[in-house]
Amino acid sequence: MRAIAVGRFVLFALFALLVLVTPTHVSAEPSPAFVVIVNPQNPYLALDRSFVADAFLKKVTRWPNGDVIKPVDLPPRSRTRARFSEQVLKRSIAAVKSYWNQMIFSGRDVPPPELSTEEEVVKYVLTHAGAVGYVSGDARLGDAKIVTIR
Amino acid sequence: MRLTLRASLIAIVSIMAAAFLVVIVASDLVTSRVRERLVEIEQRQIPRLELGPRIAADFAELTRTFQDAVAAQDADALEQTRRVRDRIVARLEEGKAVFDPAASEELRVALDAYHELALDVSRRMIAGEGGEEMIERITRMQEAQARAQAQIDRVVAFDARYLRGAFDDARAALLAGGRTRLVITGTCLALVLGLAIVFTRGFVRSIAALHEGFARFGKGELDALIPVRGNDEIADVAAGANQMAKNLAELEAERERAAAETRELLERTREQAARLQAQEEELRATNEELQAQQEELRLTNEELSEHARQLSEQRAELEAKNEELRELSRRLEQKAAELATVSAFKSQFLANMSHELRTPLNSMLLLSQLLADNPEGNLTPKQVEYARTVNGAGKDLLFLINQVLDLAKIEAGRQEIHVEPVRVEDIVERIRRVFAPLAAEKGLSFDVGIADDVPRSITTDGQRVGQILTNLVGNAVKFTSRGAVKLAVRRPDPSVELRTLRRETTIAFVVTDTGSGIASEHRERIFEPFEQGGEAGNRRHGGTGLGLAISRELATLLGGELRLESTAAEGSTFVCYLPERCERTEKTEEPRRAATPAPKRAATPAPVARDGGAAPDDATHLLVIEDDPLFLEVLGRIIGERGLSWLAARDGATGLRLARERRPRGIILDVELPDIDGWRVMEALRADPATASIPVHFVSATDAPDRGLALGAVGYLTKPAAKKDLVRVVESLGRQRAHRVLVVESDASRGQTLAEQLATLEVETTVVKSAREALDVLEKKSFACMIVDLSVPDIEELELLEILQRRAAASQDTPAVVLYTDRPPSRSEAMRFESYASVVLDEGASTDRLLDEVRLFLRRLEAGMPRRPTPNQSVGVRLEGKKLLVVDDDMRTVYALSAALRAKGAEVLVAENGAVALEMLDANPDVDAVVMDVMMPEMDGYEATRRIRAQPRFERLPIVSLTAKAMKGDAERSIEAGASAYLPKPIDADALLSLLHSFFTGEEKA
Repeated sequence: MRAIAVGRFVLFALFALLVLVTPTHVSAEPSPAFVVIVNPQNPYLALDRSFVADAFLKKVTRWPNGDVIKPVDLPPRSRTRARFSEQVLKRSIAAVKSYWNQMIFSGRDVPPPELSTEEEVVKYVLTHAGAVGYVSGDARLGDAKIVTIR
Repeated sequence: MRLTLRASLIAIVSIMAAAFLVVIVASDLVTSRVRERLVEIEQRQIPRLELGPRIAADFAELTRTFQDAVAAQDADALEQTRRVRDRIVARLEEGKAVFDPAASEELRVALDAYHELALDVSRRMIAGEGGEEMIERITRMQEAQARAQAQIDRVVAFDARYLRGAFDDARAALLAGGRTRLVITGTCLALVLGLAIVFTRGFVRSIAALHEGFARFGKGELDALIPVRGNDEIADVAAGANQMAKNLAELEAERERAAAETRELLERTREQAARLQAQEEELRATNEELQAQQEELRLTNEELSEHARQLSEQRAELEAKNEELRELSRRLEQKAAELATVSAFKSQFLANMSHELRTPLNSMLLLSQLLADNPEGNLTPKQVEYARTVNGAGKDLLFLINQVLDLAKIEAGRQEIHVEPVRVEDIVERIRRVFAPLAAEKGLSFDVGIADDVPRSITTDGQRVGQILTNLVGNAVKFTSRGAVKLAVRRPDPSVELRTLRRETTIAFVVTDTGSGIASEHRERIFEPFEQGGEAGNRRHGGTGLGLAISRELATLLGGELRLESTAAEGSTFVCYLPERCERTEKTEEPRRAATPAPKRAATPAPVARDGGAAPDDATHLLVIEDDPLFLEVLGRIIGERGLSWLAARDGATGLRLARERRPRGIILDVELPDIDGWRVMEALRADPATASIPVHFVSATDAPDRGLALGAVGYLTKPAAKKDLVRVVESLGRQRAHRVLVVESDASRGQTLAEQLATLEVETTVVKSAREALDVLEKKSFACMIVDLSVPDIEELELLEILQRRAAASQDTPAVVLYTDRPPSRSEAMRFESYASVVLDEGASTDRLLDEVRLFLRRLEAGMPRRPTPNQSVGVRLEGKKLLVVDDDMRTVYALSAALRAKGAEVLVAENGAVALEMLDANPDVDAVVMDVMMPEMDGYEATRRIRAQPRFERLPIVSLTAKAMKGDAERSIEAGASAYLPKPIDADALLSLLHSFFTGEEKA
């Protein structure tokens, strides 16, 4: 009988050890890698991904209501920009740079301004009516409005 | 003023010409304006047109360069943009002349502004700036870029406008010119046409009047005159025609009168015809008389033909006489042939004479030598000295006899010459080397010289020329006691008259001395045998007086002349004129080749007779390439009888294959073969190194020996062939491969000659130029015999001999040595030479003699005797217990020989002729060796030798032949008869003794 009691103990101990070692799962929904924000006066709540991409590459220059689109970028080394570039523009930062390079020196267009911090981006969006930008999911947005990307 | 036709024509033509001129000038004016415009376009607009796009392209490159630099993140690459900008500026500078300066300046400013901005922007972009200020900068830069681009466009656009203007100008000028030309041309044409119409109308009217007038004249109305109108050429014609009509009317009247006279004349002619008929009648009568005369003529003709017949009879008689004459000439030819035979007899007689002379000389030399040796020591020194003198005199006499023989040979035409290209320098150098020391010894200076215009080489017999020059220079040195001897080679003097030679192709060898000279009365006789420049000279200098005679004969033989130009007491000059090319090449070369028979296999039995004809070394002896089975059978029998093995090939291809595989000793080759002919087979054999050295003998029905020999065959026999000839061929091919002979000769041409002559002995000859080479060669191969030229002994050659002597002492394989020299060796030299060599041949020794010696050695070799009868051993030679048979009819020789042989302890039997010798041998079969003279009464030496050899018991008995006749062929004959060796008479006792000794030692060894 004693032997059986010892066996049970060992099994239990093993089980406990197993439960302890397993990492705890974060139950909350993860904040998204980035959000696209616009000026609060902007009437749109959701935008097509391709429209946003064209806006950032200045292939379209006006909102559907006729206002001028003013895109604003984060610095190239920002991880948020990297995600945005991959998921929305569907091209790498280097490719985007090369694209702008061509645009610049053939005198066709200039790239969106690159602002060094997310706060500055939020500020820019708040101060420019036609502006559109993106920041990381956990940034303080103030009055800026998040648009959903379809 | 007369308005003539010519004037009118000229006027019209000049007006037309003037009009043309106007048109040409006008159009030239127009074209020159157009041209000016075009030139301007070409010089100003076209470069502008070209430069514009280039600048635009450069500008595009500039922006691209910026773009690339930024893309590459490479700040240094921005420097490149400066280069591109400078290029654009340079282009602007280049186009300064054609661009609007203001526009160009503006463009430059805009370009600079853009460049500055772009540089700044690029650097910042590379640095990673991207803020709003940056965007502003980029915008500014893009504006500057747009400005610059616009400026460029302006320049280009401006050009296009300008160009169009220029073209419009040019086209307008062209159109205006065209119109002007049209107006002028039209005016001129109208003017000319008007004038032509006015003129032609007047002209046509005048012509019509003229035509009408002429028509009237034609109808006979000669008095109807043509109206003369105007003052031109047609008016002249009308006046002339009127005059002519008047004259014609007069002529008509004249003709009427003449017709009447003609009628009268006709009447008179008729009368004369009647008279002529009468005369014809008379003529016929005369003709009949003539016929009678013709008959007489015919009769005379018949008489004449009678005469002709008689004449032809006389001609027949004449022909008969002619026939007799021909008969006579035939007999004459026969006589000539007989004479030739007599001449041959004469030389034979001379040869025999020399034998007769040599025989007593022989004993004299032998006995005097014996006396001088003083073996018993019972003579006083004085007596020994006398004996030596006798011996020396005897040797001189022998030399004289040799020379007589030489002369006889030349006169009998038996001297052969060997023509080939020879370097003049070699000949002269040889003479110089030989005589320079002799001259120096006498205190004479000796110069040689070759003129520049003498060709480097001439075609002649170098050895004979050398002989002539040796003679001449030798004489010069001999007869000159003070001064100089000179040898010069040059073209003949123009003053000299040559008998047969052409001056341009003749060379003169001139030997000059400062000796006693030759008096004019001796000049002619000097070339006769036994003549010298006065009896006294003879006494003082010795010599035979044959040298010049021989030299002259030799010169003639070479197609040249030998002359003397001399003044007594002032020295003499001998000139030998020789043609550059001796013409006797063909004559001497051919017969020699064809006539030299392969030396026959002699009595020493061949060591090959084995069962079944199989050769001991299992090699095939002979290969017969022949398609005739009958002939093959015959040949096979002959070959088999000689104990040789053989193979037959029925066609050329098989033959070649067998030759390569079996390497036979010899090949018998037919020419007509089923596949490839014999000539081609021969060529193939020679081309293959494996078969090149196999002797080939042609036996063919095709009669072309020259071709066969030219291909390198050893002989050529024409079918049908006699059996004995076939035997000869088989034996010569079947014998062992040739012995090797090494010739050490620094003179290449002499070496070559020797090699060729040795080739007749069927030996393999190697010629080397120096002792060093000789040693090399001796390391590799063994040689039976070595021939060394010591005319100019040099240290190396003597060393070579020493080395060989040492080797011989160590009983190594060394060749027998034959030395020869051109000049008499000094006493010490002679002794040294003799210690090295088997044989020393000196001055006067002919090539024949050399060949004889070599042949002798080879014979000894074949008989299995030692190669080298060690010289000077005779002193120690002992012949005790040996029984020798001496066969000679001359008792003095017998006595001398016996004395010499007995002195060495041999028992000597004597026979006075061959028959007696045979009897003696029967009685004494234990004889160890036979010494046999060849010329004896009753039975000569050849016959006796043959009979001895016929007896099996004497198969290996040494027989030494004594030949006196130095004529070629004696040696061969005695070897052929079966002699083991031969010695020329007079006999050198030492040579005989060492020869005998070698036989006995060889026997003991065996």
